Amino acid sequence: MGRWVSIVIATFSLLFFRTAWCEDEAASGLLAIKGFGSIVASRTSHDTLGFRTQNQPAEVAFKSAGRWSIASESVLGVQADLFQHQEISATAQVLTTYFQHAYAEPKVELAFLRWRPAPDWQFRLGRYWIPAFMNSETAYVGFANNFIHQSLIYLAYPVSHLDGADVRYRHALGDGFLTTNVFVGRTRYDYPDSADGKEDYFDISAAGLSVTWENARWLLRTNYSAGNMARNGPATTTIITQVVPALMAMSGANCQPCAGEAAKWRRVYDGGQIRLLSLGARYASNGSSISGEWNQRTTDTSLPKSYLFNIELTHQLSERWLLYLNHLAYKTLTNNAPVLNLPAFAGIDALYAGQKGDRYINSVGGKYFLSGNVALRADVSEVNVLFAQARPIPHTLRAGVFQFPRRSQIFSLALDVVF
Amino acid sequence: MKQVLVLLLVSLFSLSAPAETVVVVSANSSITAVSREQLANLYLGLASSLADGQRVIPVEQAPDKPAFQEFHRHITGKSPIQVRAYWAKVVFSGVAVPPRELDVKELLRFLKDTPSAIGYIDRHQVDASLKVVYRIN
Repeated sequence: MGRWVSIVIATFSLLFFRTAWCEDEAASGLLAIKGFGSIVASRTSHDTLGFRTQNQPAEVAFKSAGRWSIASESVLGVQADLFQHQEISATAQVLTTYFQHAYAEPKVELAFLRWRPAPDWQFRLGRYWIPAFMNSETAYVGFANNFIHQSLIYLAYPVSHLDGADVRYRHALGDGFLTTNVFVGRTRYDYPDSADGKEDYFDISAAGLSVTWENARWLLRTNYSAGNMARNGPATTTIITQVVPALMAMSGANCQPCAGEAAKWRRVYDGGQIRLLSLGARYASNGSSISGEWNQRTTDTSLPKSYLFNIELTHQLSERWLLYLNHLAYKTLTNNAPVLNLPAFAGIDALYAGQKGDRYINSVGGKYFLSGNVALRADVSEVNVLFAQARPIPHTLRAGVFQFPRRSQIFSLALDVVF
Repeated sequence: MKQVLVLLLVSLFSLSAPAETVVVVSANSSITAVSREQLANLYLGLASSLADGQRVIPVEQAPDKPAFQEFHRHITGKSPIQVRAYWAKVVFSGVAVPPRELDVKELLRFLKDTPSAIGYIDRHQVDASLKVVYRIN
């Protein structure tokens, strides 16, 4: 709680700074400081079933187990845009939420230089938002998004930005615009704070091509990304230095799958190949919209092949009221070869083969705009887990026995602001 | 008496008649006309130039102004809150920046001084230094 107080004080200081130093922002056009924030209160229907959206430790997930908590999803963001002139600008955004620790911490979410030498061309260098998301784009900005628990899964883990560069070319096509975006960069996925304080992380390097056609009503998008993920960290060093050699030593007649298993572990730590294909579409008219997104992930068997599907319907009841329905599904199509090819895992394999590893979240919610800066949201999500060991995304965590109820619910309330 | 009644009716009619919002550029601008689709694309950040490649700088009025509400209702099909939510998504993902928001006095000065600028005002605020390129009926 103390950290939230200091963050709120820092925000008010920034706003004071903005007022004092940039009194006439529109006229000067040099610096604009804006921000957004959400206080999100959630609880699950079971007092042994936790919930989290980021890479948070289990203790954060269990704060909302059967009781209300604002820990998991509350967020505060402040963004500065600096315009030198029409062609060059700089953007920096600091985001504060519970990332991979049991406390709110500020992190730089955006920090890039933008150069637009011509109306059709844009180059960015620095930390930028991955242009592959659709329904979950700016998932942190509650005022702009509807469903509270949007997924930020990119490749295999919830990451939202890359450090690198991207080039965008946009030109008119029909009554809309075709945008081609080529991007390359690196990012880091941090594992949750472990009990012994040792944290592991994935180094993720990715390159991709995104093509979007849009006008005032339609948006059609496809994205292909290829990446490499290498796991690092002190807690896992022993696996690459001891477990892999041991498995290699055991391979042969005594342990048929050991060589394959050793190779898999080496790939995970040295870098596994992963590819993502996504297709998305959105149609909006008179405040109502329908949008859908399908992401398929394939790997070099370091991770299961899977896909994520999300569809959202919104209907504007009035100027201030909006209703939404959201369906988020995560399906695993193949198992993690070769270790689960062992006879002991035949049952699990059969379940996956029958697509019984499916898990999905159905949500219904409403949003009420109190003003042009403040909104209230409330939604109820039903988490469906067809296979007791599956982990829905966003995650629910079960205390004790690693088994989930067939159905559970997450109740959420959010207060969203932009400033 | 009859004249007074006519004058009263005319006055009432002029008071209740809705203000007409027009889209204007500097009289020195080479822009002669724009379409509704072009305006929607400019004001949603999808385009920053017209078909001939000429860069255009759109400027906004404040969301609480009647001209803002009338312009967006007809051009982008969005209410002030929807416009705000749309730009929150675009701005905070670092995709684009919204048009500059100016009060009417600043906007008129900016439009007159900047041949590549485009904006919308009440029809009664148009003078010889500005050129109407689109009418919102």
